[in-house]
Amino acid sequence: MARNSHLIYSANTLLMKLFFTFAVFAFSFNLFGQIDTSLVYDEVLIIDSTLEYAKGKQEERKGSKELQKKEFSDLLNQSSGIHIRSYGLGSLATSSLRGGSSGHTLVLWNNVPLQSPLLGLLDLSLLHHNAFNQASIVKGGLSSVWGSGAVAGVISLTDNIEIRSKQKLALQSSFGSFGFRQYSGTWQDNIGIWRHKTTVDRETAVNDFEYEIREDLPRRLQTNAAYQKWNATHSSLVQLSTNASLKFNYWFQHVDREIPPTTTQNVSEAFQEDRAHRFVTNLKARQEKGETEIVVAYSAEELNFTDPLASINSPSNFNRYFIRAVQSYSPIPNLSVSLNGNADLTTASANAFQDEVSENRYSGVLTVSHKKPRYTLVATTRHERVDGQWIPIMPSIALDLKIAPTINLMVSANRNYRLPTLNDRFWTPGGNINLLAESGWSQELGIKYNKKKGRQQFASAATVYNRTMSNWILWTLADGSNFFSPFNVAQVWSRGLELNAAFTHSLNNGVIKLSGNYDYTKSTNQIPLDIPKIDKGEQLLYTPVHQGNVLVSYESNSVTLDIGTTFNGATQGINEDVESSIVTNARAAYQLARAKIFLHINNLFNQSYFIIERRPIPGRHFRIGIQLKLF
Amino acid sequence: MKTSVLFFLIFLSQMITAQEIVDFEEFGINQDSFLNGSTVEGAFITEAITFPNSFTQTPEFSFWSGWSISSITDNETPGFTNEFSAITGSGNNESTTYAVSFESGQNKLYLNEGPQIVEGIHITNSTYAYLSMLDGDAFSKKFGGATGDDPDFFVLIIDGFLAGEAVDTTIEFYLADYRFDDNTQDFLIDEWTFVDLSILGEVDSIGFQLASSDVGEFGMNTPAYFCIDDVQLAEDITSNTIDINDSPTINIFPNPTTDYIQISGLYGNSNQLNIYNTQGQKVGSGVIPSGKKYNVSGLETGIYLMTISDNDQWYTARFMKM
Repeated sequence: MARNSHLIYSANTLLMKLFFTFAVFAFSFNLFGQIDTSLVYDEVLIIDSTLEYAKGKQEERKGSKELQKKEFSDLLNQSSGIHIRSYGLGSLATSSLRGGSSGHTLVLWNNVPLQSPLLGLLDLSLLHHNAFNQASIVKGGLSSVWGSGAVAGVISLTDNIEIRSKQKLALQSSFGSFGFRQYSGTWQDNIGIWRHKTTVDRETAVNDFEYEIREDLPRRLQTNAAYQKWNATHSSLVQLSTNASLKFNYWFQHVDREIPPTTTQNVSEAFQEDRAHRFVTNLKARQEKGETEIVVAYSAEELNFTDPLASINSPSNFNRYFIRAVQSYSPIPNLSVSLNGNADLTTASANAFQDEVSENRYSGVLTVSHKKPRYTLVATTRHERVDGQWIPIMPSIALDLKIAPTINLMVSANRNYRLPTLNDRFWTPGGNINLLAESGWSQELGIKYNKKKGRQQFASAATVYNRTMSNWILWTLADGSNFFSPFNVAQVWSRGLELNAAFTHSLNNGVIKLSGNYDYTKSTNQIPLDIPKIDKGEQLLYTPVHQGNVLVSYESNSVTLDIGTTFNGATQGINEDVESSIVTNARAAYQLARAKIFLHINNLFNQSYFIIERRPIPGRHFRIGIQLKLF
Repeated sequence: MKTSVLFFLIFLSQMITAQEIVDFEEFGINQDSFLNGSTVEGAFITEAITFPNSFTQTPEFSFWSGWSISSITDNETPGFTNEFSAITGSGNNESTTYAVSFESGQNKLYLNEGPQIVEGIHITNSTYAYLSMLDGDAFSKKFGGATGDDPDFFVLIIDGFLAGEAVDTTIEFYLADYRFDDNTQDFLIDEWTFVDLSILGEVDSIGFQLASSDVGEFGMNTPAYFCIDDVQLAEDITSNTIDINDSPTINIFPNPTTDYIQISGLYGNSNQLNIYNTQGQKVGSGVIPSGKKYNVSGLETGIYLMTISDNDQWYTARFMKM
């Protein structure tokens, strides 16, 4: 018997419609696609810092392996185990790792969570390249270190000031298909002990692209898809002494965007406004055998969704204070002990909340790491109290063992959790304050091979992982209820294999690189449900079993060329199946003395494809721009 | 005794010759207003038919399902906010009032006078469902899909029930049908359409269930609304069920009641009694005790239908359990 999701309209009234969207998105809709390059197209420093993250800290350079500079969108597209679901150019985009939901990947900005506490996820389309210059994707369970949501991994974005930064004034402008325009300026200076950087960026697009419905039918024009974005950032670093520094980061964001119709919708007048002020201060003081770090962060964010055709006006906002104090100590060489205390205090308002709601989280983390030339062993445990209720202890252990000069073996086991969102708890009607945290265990085993000979380097890795999550939260209709409510009803088993290989050949004036990734992901429901209709053993929606990518690139001092192809396996959607797709993107950049010219061509072979059914993706389109370094 | 028999014959005669139409005008609501159950106890009750309604009020929201009574004329505004509107903008034959059904499962109506033939009913789309199927929205597809060729449908499945058992016949009425090879034949119902229900035969309740081709993981995407008007009840030549209000002798009291029903005026000694809830489920039955006092304290609060046998005649009575 078909049941009617429109119950939700009647029962939960208009506001529920918006939340339903996000509730659906939040349910393990693990998509795989290509992120819109308008999101982030500046180069960022990619950091391989798995163990540093397992220890709960990220050094600005020290202790982390600097891989290369590349665009963040490429990092997302070309990494293994990560899936980006994009609802179209300029529209909602979220990430998930290793078959988890979008709420199971924690996104950090300067080591502070970015996720909306109402929705439990981050819209990646709101990320801006000026807000960070380092990025890393750390896969695996990290809840013991980073807390709720770090179930399948962490995406960490950091805005650091170059230690040897000089005075700089740079301008950038770019334009592209579908009315894309972007202008930005960067001012950076070094005054005594104070180094600072300020950026302002303005970006607009109409996104009136044509897309194909079927070969024999007229192409359809996308409508109501325009956006405008303002982003401003400021970073300051004050070197208080040789052993102490104070860092400050600010990110202002103002985004207005229209919500386009689906392919099965004639017209949409919906639009969304996002506003954010984010502040992070970080005080570090090194001692002879340890280090003290204090982080104080505050964010005030608003999201207003309006759909005049459906008479929906749904404003929401939250204020979040985040405080972390870390003391690390090395009593003997090779042994480090770190004690970490966190307070995460949130207040939020929404039409669907009867009153202003709040959530207070307090946690303590103890990390012990032992490092020898042949191995690094890290053990962590976390205990957290949320609104007076204790979360079970979250332990983890990770070992990186060098079993041969070129081979490392990595093994880890973790307990992970994700707290219910504020919408899960307080939405009226339906919110369930008795929800338990989702929780489970994960294990992984990996082997890395890295061989360098002369001008050539070959690196490869294979990882298998296993993760179970119980008390998985889904919105469903309880017996006799007229409206949806969240319950701890699902259990999900995720397991998979990740294979990576990269070959690098250095020439006299450049480097040629060939790399590829393949992921096999099984993420299945273990408990059958009626609503949503889920059979036992069924693969999660929008989760491809097979996916992969290859990249060929050439880079010299003045020229960068790369071409990458991504394969997305077929998935099951909410309403229809999504066919597999192969999409190729190309990049080129040319560096002059004070200028850099770049060209991006997305969907080079003009493929017609979907990542989400009914959400059109444009065919071939381009961006071209110039960066000028005035001084 | 002679008076009673005479009255019964007159009553029966009236039943044989009368044809009743339930047109909802008796609710007397002003144009562009609606009754969603906030002012009634579990049902909209006409003389002939009971239309169940479930309404819940919280400080922030109200919810309803089942049936509502409406006189909304706005047939242009899409979306949920216009959920009480018929696409015709009025009742059948330009009348003011009609009924709106919203139910994820089966929505029923109950014939107050027991088993009866229903000749037919006028049905049309709600504005919410109609415009959703015509233009699509963020959750529901426009019928025909992106290509116009999708074989979509929105069908109302009508079942009759007699003493809680479904009769053999099922009626399917397509509120939208896009399954034609020639797309020009695709249609959405946009006017009041008479649906013959007499083929269901004698029934004491009728169930309405919507089904759509637009179904996702969370169930049917098409809004589960439709509208009805002018329910035509046929003559009842087989049933000898009589409303207790029409019996000059039989009476029940107290009503409303909290723990028992006293029945007076019965002629026979072995009187049978059945009690049904508004869903048509039998929740009590037995022989009426010699004291003619039947215990209903175990029933939940609500409205119930009672049938009482007396000298081979069945009588019906509604009562409220407090």
